Amino acid sequence: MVEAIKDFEIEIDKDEVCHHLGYQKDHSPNSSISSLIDEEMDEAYQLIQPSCFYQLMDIRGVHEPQVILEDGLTITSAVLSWVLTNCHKVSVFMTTIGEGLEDRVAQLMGDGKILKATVLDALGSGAAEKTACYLEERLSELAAADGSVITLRYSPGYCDWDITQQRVLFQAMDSAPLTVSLTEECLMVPRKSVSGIIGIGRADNKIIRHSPCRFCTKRNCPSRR
Amino acid sequence: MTDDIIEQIKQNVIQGRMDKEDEGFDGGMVGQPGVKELVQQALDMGTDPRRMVTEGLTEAMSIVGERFEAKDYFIPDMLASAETVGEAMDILAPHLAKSGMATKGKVIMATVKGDLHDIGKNIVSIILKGAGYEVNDMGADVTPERIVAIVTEEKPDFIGLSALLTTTMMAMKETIESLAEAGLRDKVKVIIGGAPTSAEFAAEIGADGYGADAFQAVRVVEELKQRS
Ligand code: B12
Ligand code: SF4
Repeated sequence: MVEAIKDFEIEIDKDEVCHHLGYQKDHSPNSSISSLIDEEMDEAYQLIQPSCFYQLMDIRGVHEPQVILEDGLTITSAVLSWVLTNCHKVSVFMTTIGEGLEDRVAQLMGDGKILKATVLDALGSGAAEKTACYLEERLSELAAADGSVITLRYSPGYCDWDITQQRVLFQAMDSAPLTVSLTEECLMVPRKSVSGIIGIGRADNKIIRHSPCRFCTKRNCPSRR
Repeated sequence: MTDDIIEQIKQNVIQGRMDKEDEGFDGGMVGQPGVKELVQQALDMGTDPRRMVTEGLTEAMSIVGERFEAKDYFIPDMLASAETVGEAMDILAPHLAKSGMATKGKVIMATVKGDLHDIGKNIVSIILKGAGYEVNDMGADVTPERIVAIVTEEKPDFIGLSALLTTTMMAMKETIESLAEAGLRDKVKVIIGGAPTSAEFAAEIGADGYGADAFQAVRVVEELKQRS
C-alpha cells in the first residue's frame, strides 16, 4: 500500500542553496545577494507544499546486477544489488514540493526577473532535497521501531542506476493517486521532485549504511558521494 | 562628459545596480543613479547609443565574465549585471533601431524536445545578449521540426541547445540530423550545453561546440565566429 505523508515542515539550508547558485566552500554571497536570498527564502516557504509517497516492498532475490522485488519488479544496478544484499525490504518513494514554486519561477522569468527566478529555483532545489531527507528520517524511525536500519537513499539517474528505471518505481506505486507524474523521457512533473529507493534490513544483519563509492571503480563518476 | 557617463554606466553594470535604490555589490551606493537613470541621462545629453552599448554595456559584461571565471563573481552577480544590461537595451532599442546598429550575430536558443529545464538555457541567453548577440529564445520542449523551421525562416548564425537528462540529450543528436536532412547543417553552427553533455558528446553527435557555463557559451560562439 502506498503511504502518503503531507502537512509537515522542512527547513531549507541556505548553504546548500548557495552551493546550487555556484558558490563553493570558501565563498559566500555579498550582502545585496545574501539579502535577496533571505527575501526569496520567505517567498519559497509560502510556495512549497512538501509531500512524500512511499511503499514498502519485500525483496524476493538479488542476482547481480538485478534486485527482484514483489510482483516481479526488477531493479538493475550492480551497486544497488550489493547495497541491498542483506536487506529484506525496500521502500520505494517519491517526494515533491509541488508546482507552486516552479509556476512562480516561470512567471518571474516571463517578467525578465531572471536573478530572482534563479534564486527562487535554487531554493526550490534545496527544498526538494530536504523533503527527501525528511522521508529518509521518517523511514529510519519506522525501521528502528522494529529493530531495523535503513541504507542511504538511491535515485535512478545517479550512480550506476539508469534514469529509465524511474518507470519501475512508478509502476510499483501506480495504484496510488500520486501528485507526481512521469513523462516519456522519465522526467518527473512537478520538476522539484525526487524519486528513489531505500533498503531496510535487520540491525544485526550487516546492512550497508555508508556510501558505496569507496569500493567503486568508476573514477570520474559525477554522482560520487 | 560623454566618456564620463559611459564609464559610469559601465561601472554600474559591473556593480549590478539597476537604479538608485540598489546598494551595489561593494555596498554603500544607495541614492546614486543606477544604470536605468544613467542611460536615460546619457540619452538626454545626446550620447551616441551605439557607444553606450559597445563601450558601456558590452565591455562591462566582458569584465563581469572575467570576474566570474576568476571566481570573484558568481551566478547571481552575473545575473544582476545582465539584468541591468537588459533594462538598458530596452531603453536604447528604439534609438539603436534608428541609428542602424548591427548585432554581433543571431542565436536561437532552445531546450530540446522532451526536456522542460530552462533555467540554465535562460542564463545562457541573457549572457549572450549582454555580449552583444541577438537572441531568440524558443523556450523548452522544442522539437527538431520547429528548429528546422526557424532556421529556414530566420537564418540564425548559431543554435544553442540545452538538455539536463541523459534521456533528453539524445534529442540534440536528432535535431542535428534533422538539420542535415533539411540541407541546413552547414548554414548554422550548433552549440550544446547542460549537465549530462560534454565536449566529447558534442563531437560525437556532430555539434560545433560545447559550453559548460554561460561565459563559456560566449567564448565558444566567438571562437566559432573567428574560424568561419
Ligand atoms: C538541482 C538538481 C536537482 C533538483 C532540481 C531539479 C531541477 N532541474 O529543477 C532536484 C533535487 C529536484 C533534482 C531531481 C532530480 N535529478 Co537532479 N540535479 C540537480 C543538479 C545538482 C543541478 C541542476 C541545476 O538546476 N543546475 C543549475 C542550472 C543553472 O545549471 P544548468 O541547467 O546546468 O545550466 C548551466 C550549464 O549547464 C550551461 N548550459 C545549459 N544549457 C546550455 C546550453 C548551451 C548551448 C550552452 C553552451 C551551455 C548551457 O550553462 C548554464 C549556466 O551556467 C544536477 C547536477 C549538475 N551539477 O548539474 C542534477 C542532475 C541534473 N539531476 C539528475 C537526476 C538523475 C535527477 C533525478 C532524476 C533523480 C531522481 N530519480 O529523483 C531527479 C529528476 C527530477 C525531475 N523533475 O525529473 C542527474 C541527471 C543525469 C541523468 N542520468 O540524466 C544530474 C545531472 C546529476 C548527476 N547524476 O550527476 N535534481
Ligand atoms: S562512484 Fe559511487 S555513485 Fe558513482 S557509480 Fe560508483 S558507487 Fe555509484
